[in-house]
Amino acid sequence: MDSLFKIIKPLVFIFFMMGIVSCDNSGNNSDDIFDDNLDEGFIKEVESQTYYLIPSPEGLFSFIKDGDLKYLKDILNPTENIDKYIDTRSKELNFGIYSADLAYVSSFNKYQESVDYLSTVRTLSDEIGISAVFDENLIGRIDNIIDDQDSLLKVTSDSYFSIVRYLESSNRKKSLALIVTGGWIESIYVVTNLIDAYKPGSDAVQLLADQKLVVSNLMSYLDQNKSDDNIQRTINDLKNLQKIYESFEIEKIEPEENNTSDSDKIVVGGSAKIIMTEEQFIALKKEIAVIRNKITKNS
Amino acid sequence: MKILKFKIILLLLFIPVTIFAQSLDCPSRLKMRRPTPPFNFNDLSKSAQCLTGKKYEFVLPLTKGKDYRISFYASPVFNNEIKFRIVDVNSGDKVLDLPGETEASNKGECALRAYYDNKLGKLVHPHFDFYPANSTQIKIIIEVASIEQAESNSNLNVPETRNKGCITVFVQDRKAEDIGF
Repeated sequence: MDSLFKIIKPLVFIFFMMGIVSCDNSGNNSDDIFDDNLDEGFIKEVESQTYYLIPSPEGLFSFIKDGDLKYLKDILNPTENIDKYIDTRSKELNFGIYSADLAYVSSFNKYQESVDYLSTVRTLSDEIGISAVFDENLIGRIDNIIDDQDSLLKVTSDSYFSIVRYLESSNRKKSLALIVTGGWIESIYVVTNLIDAYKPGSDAVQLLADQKLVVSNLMSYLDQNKSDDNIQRTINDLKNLQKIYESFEIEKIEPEENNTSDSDKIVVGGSAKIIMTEEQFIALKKEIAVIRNKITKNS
Repeated sequence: MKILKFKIILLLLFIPVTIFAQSLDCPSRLKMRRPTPPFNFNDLSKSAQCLTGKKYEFVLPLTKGKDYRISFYASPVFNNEIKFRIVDVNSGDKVLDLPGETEASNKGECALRAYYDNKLGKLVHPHFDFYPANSTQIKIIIEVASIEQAESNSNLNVPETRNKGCITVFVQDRKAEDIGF
């Protein structure tokens, strides 16, 4: 036992010293970093890079939940389909799809459906090796959701951000790219199916038209990872959709006067507007359904 | 007992490696940022690993109907020697062009250094509010000065080995205020 203490004592001392070093806040904010070893791989990886950012499904649905768009459960990917996803690509794409479905049902505050989709997302997370995201804290919040201590949407969106952060931290860019793609495809599929008839200038139609900007980001993001076969297949699947979006005209408009009450705000995007015609809407609705159903049926 | 000793030695060898390997987990740094009501956290936020002497671009789609608040954070290893530019991709106009820090560091003069807000009576980190009149994309261009530049600009002694860190673009949003009567 004595010899055990002889070993443990210096160990405790070393950890104590490490604690002091890591808590040394000599900088002017908490992002301070100490690392003396820069390997070539790291330098190459973080060298002058462009980050294309894609909104989460929750970000897209936040626009529809306040509107008069109705709740349609039947358009979602049934949770029973999970058994069809055997390969990594279909698991990751459908993880994104189920995450979007979860965001949709929780934005309408559907408790039971949220629990079902959350359970499916957790099962898939296990299979793609990201179950660590669902730590005790998150699971506790999910379990207590019925007590309304947390809003459904807050918990589901927090889980999505945790997954994104986890994949970024563990450098699983390709998995993240497929998950984000699946989430975006399902969000657009849902929104197109919620629109009964094309109304030019309506919020939902404009939201879909504005996705031209997101598609451009998404394709550039996928392109950065195209060395991966699964990503290349996904790029190929999205080519027709990209063409449809590229056909949307950008109408030049006279910038409006700054009509915001806050003069400190910087006004952007005032000189152009994306226009989607009825024909383009129909083509978009058809194509997104083809892509989405191919993923959910894993065909 | 020998096995126990061996296990402890293994622990001694591997635990520090694990701790230091995680020391530059930039994405997790976003957890430290809390939105300021009435703004909410926006998932376009990004914290990325960056090197001195390099340029980074963040392309963000901004959607009409929301007000956005963007602020920046950087590891002290960069000594705030960073240039921030934001371009409205829609029009090509430059909408923001600021250094990380200025001597005065008053509101709106730099992107990184906190200033004292008399109205709020506290230190506030600089933030920039955006209102998309129509959906658009903005490109945030961040240039991190090289160590040589940083040294000549600030006369601060930056060890050559401390040249990587995290830069965080923190995005918050809220539903746009309806203007009208």
